[in-house]
Amino acid sequence: MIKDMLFDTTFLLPFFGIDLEEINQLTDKAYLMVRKMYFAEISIYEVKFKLVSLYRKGKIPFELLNDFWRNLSILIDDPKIKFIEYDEQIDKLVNALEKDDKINLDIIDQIIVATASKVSVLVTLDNDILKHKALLREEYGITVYSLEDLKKLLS
Amino acid sequence: MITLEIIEGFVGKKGEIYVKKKLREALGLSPGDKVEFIIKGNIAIMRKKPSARDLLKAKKVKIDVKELLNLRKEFEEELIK
Repeated sequence: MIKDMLFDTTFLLPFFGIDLEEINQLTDKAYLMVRKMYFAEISIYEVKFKLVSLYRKGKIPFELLNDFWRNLSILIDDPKIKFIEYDEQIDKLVNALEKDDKINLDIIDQIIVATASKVSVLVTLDNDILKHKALLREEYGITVYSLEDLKKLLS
Repeated sequence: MITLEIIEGFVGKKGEIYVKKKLREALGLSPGDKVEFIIKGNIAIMRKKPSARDLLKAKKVKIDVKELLNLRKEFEEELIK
């Protein structure tokens, strides 16, 4: 069993009726092989935002918006999945990342990275975060895994 | 033609709904499982609440990963508007 990891928002979408091909397969594998899958609270809002945007563009049926709360409640009830609430420790780290001249991240990335500090491991597809991989490990103690890293870990 | 089978249950004093073994077996229900009701007028369809893995296996709409990643920018713009 692989230790706890925080997954970025992309890995939540397969639970909400979105097919991202390889990501869906990896999410299923991770669900079986990772001790606990963590997500940042902000990822819930990001998923809802993305579903609404896709619906407005005619890419998904309304049914997926309708099922959102039901699917979320299934995840909340699942002992293998945990959403980490925003707290003081996360807020302090978001501020530290904002003041860090060596790291340029948008606010959502900052929140996701800061939330990942709670479990020390982040899995992300975000290139902006991935390019700061070494720095995040050295200065903030957060190990960042890419999709390729995750594939190797789960193989 | 669909043949519907009707199985009786009953409502307890505190509103609990008791269902027969035959129905529990048909739905694969075990103690502690959650169920959900789909309601239309005065008719309800009961089914076992799916698990997280059931959600992963459910029918999906294919979306390009790049398109989703681009939506991040829009999300951030909405947040800081």
